[in-house]
Amino acid sequence: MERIKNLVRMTMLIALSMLICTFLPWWYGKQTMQATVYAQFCADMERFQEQLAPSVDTLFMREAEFTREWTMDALDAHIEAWLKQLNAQGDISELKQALKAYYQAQRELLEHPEYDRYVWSVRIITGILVILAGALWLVAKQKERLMERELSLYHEEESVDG
Amino acid sequence: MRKWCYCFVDIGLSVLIAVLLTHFIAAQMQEAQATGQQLRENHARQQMHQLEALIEGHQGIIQRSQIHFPVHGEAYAILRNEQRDFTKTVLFGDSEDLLAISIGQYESSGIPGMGKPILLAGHNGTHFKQLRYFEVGDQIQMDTEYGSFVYEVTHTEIMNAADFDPTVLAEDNERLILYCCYPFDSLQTQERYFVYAQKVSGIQIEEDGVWKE
Repeated sequence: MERIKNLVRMTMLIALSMLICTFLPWWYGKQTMQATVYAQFCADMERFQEQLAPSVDTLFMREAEFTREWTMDALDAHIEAWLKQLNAQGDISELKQALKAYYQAQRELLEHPEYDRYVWSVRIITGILVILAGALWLVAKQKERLMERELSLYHEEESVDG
Repeated sequence: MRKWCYCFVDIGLSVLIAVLLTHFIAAQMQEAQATGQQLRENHARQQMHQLEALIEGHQGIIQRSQIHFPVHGEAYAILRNEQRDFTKTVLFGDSEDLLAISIGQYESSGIPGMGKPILLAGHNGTHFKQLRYFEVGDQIQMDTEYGSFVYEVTHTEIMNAADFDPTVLAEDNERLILYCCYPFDSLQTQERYFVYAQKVSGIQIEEDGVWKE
């Protein structure tokens, strides 16, 4: 019983330590590059704007707009308004689609799917292990107490009989 | 006492194993993150190239009806040669009063994007006194309200004003022809100093009727 208890306690300690570690940025740090991505995006958009309309100076998106969650319709309207400001002539639907795809590709650079997947996997697995090990440890402890009680009762009975 | 010792050893060992495992998982995660980021960067770059190509195609041709044709005396472009620290306004027309203000364009020559030679004149003592420093390979930029155009200096020439063949202006070859009186320190001379620059980039104006009012 003691061996099982030790094993369970050790498992719980390992899982608990790992769970705590997932909150330490030293190991689990997001590779955030928002400023770099936005600066690059701005430079590219400025270049495109100069190509489309050199005499017009208008910013495509501020940083807050760049990082906000857009609905498809709102994004469409924003791009269309920007193109109108540049007096883009002719069929702009293809250009609009390409701008949208480019913006979305840039936005994806700010997301961290691998980080989320790893961190949440480790947190969930270690969390389950802590709970299971804790439950097992409690059961073992309970069983140990019962055995002790049975043993003491047995000794009491033996002494009464004796 | 012995029990406590065992307890500390247990805790120490558990933490050590946890740290090692964490370190291993974190390394795997960072590798996956770097690979994922690389893929996303490649995707973004691909989208940018597509957009670039589309914009180039979009800006490659512009309809004539979308452009306002300059009128006499209008400042319609900026001429730049960054290598020579040269920036001047281009006026449409080359009458004496306009040449006193800045560089003037011969009105029967083309405007940028038209595919015809653009003839620009200036006084050798004022607005075109730097023309002597223009060298083969210099990039001359002409910015208009409908686009930016780049021309590269191909050669320079000195000739008598009467020898200039005006039929070159009818050629289907877009290039800048800049000229002023020569020698540079003389006024009212018969010789002219010419700088020729071939178009490198910029939109094309497509005929579709009349110029924008």
